[in-house]
Amino acid sequence: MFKALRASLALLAAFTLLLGLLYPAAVWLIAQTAFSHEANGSLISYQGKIIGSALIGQNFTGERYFWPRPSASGEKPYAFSTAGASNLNPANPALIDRVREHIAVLSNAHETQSGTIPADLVTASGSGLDPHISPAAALYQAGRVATARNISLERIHALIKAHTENKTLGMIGERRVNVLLLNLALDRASGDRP
Amino acid sequence: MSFLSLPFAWWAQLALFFVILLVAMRPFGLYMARVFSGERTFLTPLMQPIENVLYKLGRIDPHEEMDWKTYTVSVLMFSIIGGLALFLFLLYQPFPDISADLALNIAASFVTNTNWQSYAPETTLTTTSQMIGLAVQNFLSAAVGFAVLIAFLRGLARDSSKTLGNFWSDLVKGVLYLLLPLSFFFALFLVTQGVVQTFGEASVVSPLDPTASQIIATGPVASQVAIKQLGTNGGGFFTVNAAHPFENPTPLSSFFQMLAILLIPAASAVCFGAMTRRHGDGRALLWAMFLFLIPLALVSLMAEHQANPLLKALGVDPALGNMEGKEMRFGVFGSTLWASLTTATSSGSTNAALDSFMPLAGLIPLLFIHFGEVVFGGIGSGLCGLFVYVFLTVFMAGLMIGRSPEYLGKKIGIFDMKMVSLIVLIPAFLTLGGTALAVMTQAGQNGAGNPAEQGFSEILYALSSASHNNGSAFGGIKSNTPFYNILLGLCMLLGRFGVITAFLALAGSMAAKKSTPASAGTLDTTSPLFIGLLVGVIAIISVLTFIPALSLGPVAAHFHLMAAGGLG
Repeated sequence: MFKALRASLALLAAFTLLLGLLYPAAVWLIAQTAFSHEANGSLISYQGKIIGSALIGQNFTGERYFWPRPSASGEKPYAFSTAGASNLNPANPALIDRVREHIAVLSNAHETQSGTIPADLVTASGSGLDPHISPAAALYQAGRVATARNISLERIHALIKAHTENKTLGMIGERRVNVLLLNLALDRASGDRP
Repeated sequence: MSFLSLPFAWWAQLALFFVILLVAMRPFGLYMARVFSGERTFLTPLMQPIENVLYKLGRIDPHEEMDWKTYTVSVLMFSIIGGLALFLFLLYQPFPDISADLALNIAASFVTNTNWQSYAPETTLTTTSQMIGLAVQNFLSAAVGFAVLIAFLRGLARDSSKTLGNFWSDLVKGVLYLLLPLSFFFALFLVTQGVVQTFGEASVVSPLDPTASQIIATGPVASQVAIKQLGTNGGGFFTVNAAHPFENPTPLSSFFQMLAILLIPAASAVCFGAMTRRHGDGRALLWAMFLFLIPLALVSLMAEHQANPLLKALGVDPALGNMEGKEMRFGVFGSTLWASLTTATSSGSTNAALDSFMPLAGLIPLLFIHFGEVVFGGIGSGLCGLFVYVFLTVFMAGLMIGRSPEYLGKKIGIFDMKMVSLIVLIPAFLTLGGTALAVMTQAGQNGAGNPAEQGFSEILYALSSASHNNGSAFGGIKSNTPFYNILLGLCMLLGRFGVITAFLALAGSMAAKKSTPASAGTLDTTSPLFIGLLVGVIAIISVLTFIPALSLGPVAAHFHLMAAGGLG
């Protein structure tokens, strides 16, 4: 019993040092040296300011921007510290009502679109911070953005195409468009932010 | 709803995934067998000096053989000390304050390899608590589970022996030769994908759209996510776990995290074959696991591939499937396969909201947990659990053909069957008893986050997850209350250490037996017939135990949705 106690205390202390401090520090050292952009959150600077992370979605509500997916992140969409999913089950009336509201807003803002609505535009993501939408969801919004910015639709389509990420090896994951990067490219293209 | 409706890319991904797993597990399992048989490996020159220092500090003689009781006492002592230290560490972390019941829950959760998360890490824990408290237990609880498996395998391999090896040596070897090197390289891979590893301050963002402000926090995430997956722990650095872009930024990071979750549990079956020199029996166990995993994963993929009929009726395009609670980069396939793999093992990590899955797709993770997490299972504990079902199968087959049951030449006696029964019954009793208690009390009912059947499913899922040491959740449940923190904490502790004690007693009993050579009347435990029987026994035992509860939850929800939306 006493032997086991002594061994437990000694090993716990030693392992705490090795696994709790040395191991993360070693990973940190290499990560910061070789992959400092990724290790620090893939932050994007623009005109000397950090405008966000390429991995973390942001809320865009303006007419001139592509909109991201709905976010169930705590008190306000895309809030980082309260990131979360809706956790509503498929039959929950609260889910149906929420989707109905989103559909109404989307249909209003995109009157020229008459077909079905891309599912990702009305469903909340797992993290509440999803940086991506589907290419279909981007195309759905293209007309509105083109009108608001007074840019040709072809130009917008070309930007969407340039920002579409493909499946890895042609099969892993989904085809997707990073909303923040696309909107940044839009601002650059419109000359708002030279 | 049919298998044929699934997209080709899904089949291709499934094939790629399992081919990589099958190729990787063999050399890895053989390596593990060498490590725990005390043979030299390529890491010995590097790790031996560290090993010696650790033994010296603990005044441990790594060659001292332990009987099952000493082995058990050592396991329990090490876990109690680790749990107590973590509990106090959390209780006295400088900021924010943690209630005693929550600290108990977290400590129980991490020392039992469960990683149930009642708390929101972002707002509850300091980086220090995560790194020094939780991540260390991620390593140690996994290594403890693995040590128990190694002791169990020695029990099967040895002949007329009183002992099962040395726990301290098995623990140290598990960390130094297995988990630490793997985690180190996996963490670096994750960083290349965008998982953060920094001690820097949070960044305040000035976004393009001035209506959106954001504060982006980071931390030493990669080092923690690596061990969380390799050790089948599953506790996230962030609340939303592997759905968070900083934990799982790309489809590739998700793919390799799934492989990391399955690698050691699958390689363990190879290790078993090598340690007992019965490769055929190891392969038979793998067959049984795959016979569960692949069909059930396919059922859940089919259920998610169909979109929610209630949304379709509103004019939502069904092409992407059921996207509520899922990340765009993973899509339905990457989220649904993940859910199957993390509940088949005891990982419990999630990259999507299971609560928002279609009812049948939500049923599959529950079923995997109810099978006792023996389909690959948690590191160490999963394969031990599968042996228990093997004994049960051999016993039933013995009854049918009128011969005394034996496995690997060892006769299975009354004491062994008592232990087998305990191991099957403890988690079942905790799950169903706990669920009954929760649904009968106001404090329990208050936890339900969704209405109707789904509220019940959330409670059932929480108790199943805790009692079987999985850690995943139907996330809508509000479980950070004294009632759930204490109830789930107890379920985790009893479900882990009650079962481990019985495992080791069984291992001791096996080791003491004399192995008799096979004769014409010996049941062949490598034949397809036996594999089929084993699958049947697992299915019948778990289904009979849990079907009544499941039919009140996900099954009822499925019919509810069918009636409302015309589900095929």
